[in-house]
Amino acid sequence: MRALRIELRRSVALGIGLALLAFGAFTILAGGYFRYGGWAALSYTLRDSLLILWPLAAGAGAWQARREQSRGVAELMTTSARPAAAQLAPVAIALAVTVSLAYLLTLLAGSVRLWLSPAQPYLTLPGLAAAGVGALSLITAAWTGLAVGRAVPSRFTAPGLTLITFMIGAALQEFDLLSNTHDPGLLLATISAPYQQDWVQLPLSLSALQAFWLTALAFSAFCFTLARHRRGRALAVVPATLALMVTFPLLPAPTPDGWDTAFREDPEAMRPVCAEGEPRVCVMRVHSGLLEDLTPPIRQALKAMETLPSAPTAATEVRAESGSPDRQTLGFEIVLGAAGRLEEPGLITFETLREAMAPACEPPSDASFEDYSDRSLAWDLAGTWLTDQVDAPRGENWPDERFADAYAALTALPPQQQAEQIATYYRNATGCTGDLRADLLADVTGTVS
Amino acid sequence: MRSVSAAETAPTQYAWPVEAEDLKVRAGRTMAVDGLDLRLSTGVHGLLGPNGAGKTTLIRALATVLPPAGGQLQLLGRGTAKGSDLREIRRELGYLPQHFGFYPRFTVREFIEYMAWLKEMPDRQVTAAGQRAIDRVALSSHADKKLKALSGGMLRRVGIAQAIVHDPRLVLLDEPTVGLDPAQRVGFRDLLREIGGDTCVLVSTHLVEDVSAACSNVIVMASGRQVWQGTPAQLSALGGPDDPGDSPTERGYSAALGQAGGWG
Amino acid sequence: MLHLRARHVPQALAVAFAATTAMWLGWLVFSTGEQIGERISALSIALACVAVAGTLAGYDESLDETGARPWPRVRALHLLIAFALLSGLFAISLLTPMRFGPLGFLIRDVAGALGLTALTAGALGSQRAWFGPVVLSAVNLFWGAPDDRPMLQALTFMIQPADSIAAGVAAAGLAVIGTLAYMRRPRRPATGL
Repeated sequence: MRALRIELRRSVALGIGLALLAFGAFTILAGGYFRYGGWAALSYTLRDSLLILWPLAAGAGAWQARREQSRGVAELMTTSARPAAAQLAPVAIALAVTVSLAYLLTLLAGSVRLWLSPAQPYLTLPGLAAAGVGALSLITAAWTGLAVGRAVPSRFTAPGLTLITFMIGAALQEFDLLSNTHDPGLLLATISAPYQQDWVQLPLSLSALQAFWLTALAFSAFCFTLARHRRGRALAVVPATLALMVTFPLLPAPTPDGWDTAFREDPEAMRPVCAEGEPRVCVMRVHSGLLEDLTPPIRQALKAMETLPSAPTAATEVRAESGSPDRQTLGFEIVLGAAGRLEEPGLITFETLREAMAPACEPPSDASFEDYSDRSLAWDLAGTWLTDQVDAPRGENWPDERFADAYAALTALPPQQQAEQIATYYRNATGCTGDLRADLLADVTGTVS
Repeated sequence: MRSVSAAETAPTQYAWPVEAEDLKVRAGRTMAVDGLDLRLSTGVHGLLGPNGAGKTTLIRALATVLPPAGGQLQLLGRGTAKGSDLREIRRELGYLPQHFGFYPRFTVREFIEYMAWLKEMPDRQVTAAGQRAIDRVALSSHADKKLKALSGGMLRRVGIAQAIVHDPRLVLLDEPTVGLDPAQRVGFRDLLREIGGDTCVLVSTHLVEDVSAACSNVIVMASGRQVWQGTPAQLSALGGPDDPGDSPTERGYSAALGQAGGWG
Repeated sequence: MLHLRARHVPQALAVAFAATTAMWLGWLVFSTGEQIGERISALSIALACVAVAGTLAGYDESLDETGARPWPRVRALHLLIAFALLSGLFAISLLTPMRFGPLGFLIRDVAGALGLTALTAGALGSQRAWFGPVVLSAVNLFWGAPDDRPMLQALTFMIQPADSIAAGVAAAGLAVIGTLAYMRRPRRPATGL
């Protein structure tokens, strides 16, 4: 303990720990996918940042190894009673403690941010295991650095190792060198193809596999650092080599279209959780912390649709790529902003309604550009009419200069007629029948265009 | 961790802390120690010899850095071939190398305590032992300074302190007085005599006065062999008026080497 | 010649040349384009600068100090030669089917990264001169792509297009400040870890 305390104070351990902490904090504050999700996204963002943290930790290990190169120190070490492994332990443990602690502290800081927001962290065993593998990966990095620094005692080793591992990471991303067979990034526990929705997770089996390989590599690195002769060094790399031969074929391979199959959907995270009262509003379990904030605007949307033919009577969260489960259920998407807060809470009703009014079918294959823009304008008119939020931002889709005139013409009609036109549009849009623009645009197509 | 050091439990069962017979040690390609017979008892032994005589090689062999290339070597009653024996020897061995390596970012206290830990000293004794060692080399006022901030003489004293912190039974000091000023050398000789009361101390030096002032026994080496052994008084008596040197001991040393003079 | 050996110049040249060639070869084999990705180019240049960092001081800087040489001028010359050598090394690729980037890009990056290396050497001591390029590389890698905000362009100047003004200014500034800082002498002794 005494030696460990001294090493914690005097080796590079503290410095590299602080550096990793700074970079990690920077990662979750300044950018990354954490902006758009909850705890899973946070955890996978950090795993992604291993691409930078790993080489830094490895370089620190190599830098530390320089200290033992002075001939006098080696002599003092040789003549001391403690076995070589015990001599190496304090500095190796000090490095392991600080690099893994830096990683976990970054994760904790992000988690606290989430806990303070309505979107509570959704913690699962596989999720925690995946986070733990990230910390383990950094320990392996530091110890590998120690071994490389011992093997190549040169002033160029530490920076060279850092930059070369940077390059390997960047090159892997740039080329997808081997990813059509197995993702080598998974070996360093980085996540090169982020698929970071909150309802996916890395399976426990993959985390166990990675932990096995990383532990073997760390063990080999430790033994290599100890070995004083060539034979010992050759023996030291055996565990890592064996582990690599076992692990690599078992790593998940991406699908031909590039999806990273490392991730699995988590049914528990996707289980619907519903608010009390009617009409029913449900979100995924992983977003249940947001239910309270979401229910009023979603119910408001349901109410606005009441008058439409066969209007939905309940609402549920859906994934971006899938629409409403059936016509009786209104589907809505949750867009998380920074640190798990709802993005633009004032626009939820409007956005939900706009999505609900989207045409269910593609236009005919011979449709002209005018057809497209008319359909879009009709959709926009219908969506806006339900909440009357004329000023709401419509994103970059089809900014149509005809909108203001068309909307004025629509709202100039008697209320009964307005409702009928919107109902007709809705029936046609959801049922893929008739001409979407027929009624809604009758008044504008002649005047503007 | 062991709670009691071997020194406390095992009575000394050996006649000589250092016993070498026809010892051969290789330094690189040359046989730097070539057929040396040596027996050292408790007390302070001075090791004299010209450059290249094999002093440092001998000390490194006795410090278990270099394995003997031939002959017999027993340290503290144990052979140096078996790993377990080596560990027992090293636990009771204090060593100051000629090129003393250190961790520049450590403070004096940290370094001494770290070395005590390396010597497998029981943890609860380390703090007190470290302080005592620092006091003995008169570095108390610098105990919490980093090593990289110390002068050469202070570093040498740190080196001596780390060699004695764990109360070893065998202390090997290679050129310990290099960089010490005269007052510090006097203090160091007092320290040597004190340690030599119950410990076998071997000091290699090129300063003959150190030997005459602090040692009970003098060994003169040349070309890898012992050429003379005796007390400092005997060494002084050996020298004639024609032998080169500024003091009787130096003249005795020259006579022991049998050299006419020049750069010895 | 002895001065060069004391400063590890032969090893540094070998490291820089080997790393650059390896990168170039790797790209030639695996890529179908005719230009190396700017992140990899930036990392290669940073690596070459790290090799130069190893030559910025001998084992003991205080020993260097006492040498009766006009050190500021020698140091400035050292940087200038390093700049010429590295620029030349990377510019050779312009004659091959696979280049590290347009000439302006290469010169800007070598000047900026070398300036940062010299600045770090001046501030933290030559032994730590490589901290600068390594941290800069991490920052570049983190952002990963060109960006249109001037502050970010300056921060990640090594991966910006050759015509970016902010990136050019940042690199030129680093080159000047770094050279001055290194000429004024590295402060810390070289013994520390």
